[in-house]
Amino acid sequence: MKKLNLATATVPELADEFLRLAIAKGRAVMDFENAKVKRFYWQIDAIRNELKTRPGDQRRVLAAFYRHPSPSVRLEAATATLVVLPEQSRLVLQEIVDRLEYPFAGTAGMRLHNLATGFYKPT
Amino acid sequence: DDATGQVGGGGLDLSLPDLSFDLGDIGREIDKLDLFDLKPRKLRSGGVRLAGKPPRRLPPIVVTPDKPPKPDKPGIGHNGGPALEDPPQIPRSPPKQSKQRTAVQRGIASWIERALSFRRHALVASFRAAIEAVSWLRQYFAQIETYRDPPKTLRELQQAVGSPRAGTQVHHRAEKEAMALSGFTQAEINAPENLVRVPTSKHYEITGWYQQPNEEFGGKTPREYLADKPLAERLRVGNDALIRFGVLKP
Repeated sequence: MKKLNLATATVPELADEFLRLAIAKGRAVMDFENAKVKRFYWQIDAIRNELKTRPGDQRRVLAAFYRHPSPSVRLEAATATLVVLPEQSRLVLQEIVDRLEYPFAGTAGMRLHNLATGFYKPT
Repeated sequence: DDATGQVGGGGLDLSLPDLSFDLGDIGREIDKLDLFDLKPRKLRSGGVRLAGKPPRRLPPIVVTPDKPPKPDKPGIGHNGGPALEDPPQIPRSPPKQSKQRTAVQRGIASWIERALSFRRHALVASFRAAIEAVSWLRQYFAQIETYRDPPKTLRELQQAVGSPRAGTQVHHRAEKEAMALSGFTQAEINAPENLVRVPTSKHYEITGWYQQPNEEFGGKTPREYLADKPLAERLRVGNDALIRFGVLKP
């Protein structure tokens, strides 16, 4: 697969790549493949940062994945939009917790707790 | 899909009733899901297609009946979120790697927990019958069952350390690898106040979380974040993890 040039990719292309990576990361989490999880984490982080630099902070386009069947995708989309869509993203995280979608529910619950205590301040 | 499976009596753990009822449409729905890569024999009178030899008698996967939601409190899925996904695929032969087998049984346990939260008791019952026919999964039945243990108090989790129970493991509240990297002694790492007994699959999930990069820790794994932290911070994070993964009561 041709590697996506993040700097020249369109916003839809970045969103598609985000989705692909979020699904793959979720699969790696479920399979205990931590080396892959780490690799996907930083690739997703790069896409988040690239979308942030686009005019108007295009991280908000990731809200399109708030209803995706994969809890990993919803977790990543909510996390990426905590700054631009603070209320909606937190609802998505809470839903993952309420739906018992472990292990992602554990991560989502920790994230919400750390947001509430101020330990975690997304930028 | 709303059969409660309750057989009366008190207590939280109630066995499923006799599964030899006609699953009707649910049995046909299970067939469509193509859970296994195998060809089933003719349909049993119970309505669930099984391949291979009939299942042995096994300890039951007990189903904790759900109370119906209060009228003013919606249940799972009420807000229109994604529907319950299909049950996970189950390999007929055991995967070669231990972590792959663990992933399969953890996926089964997790799905059962969610299906019960959606009150799909009859679907869980037929899924249970199907997995009982997979011989290599039998060694994981205890882990599948303990995954749904309700959260306990810290005292209960600590007191249970001295009482071995199938499907559970002893877990270190302040993560032991992080403590070892920081030079804590074995006596400090294994001090009784640092030990709790938790469901095995939850233990795997929490341990996995410690090893994955995390936004809250600036991209570090929790283990990396805790490398230079005092014991109090390690216990704080450790307790938070136990709470968020449904092991420790808040």
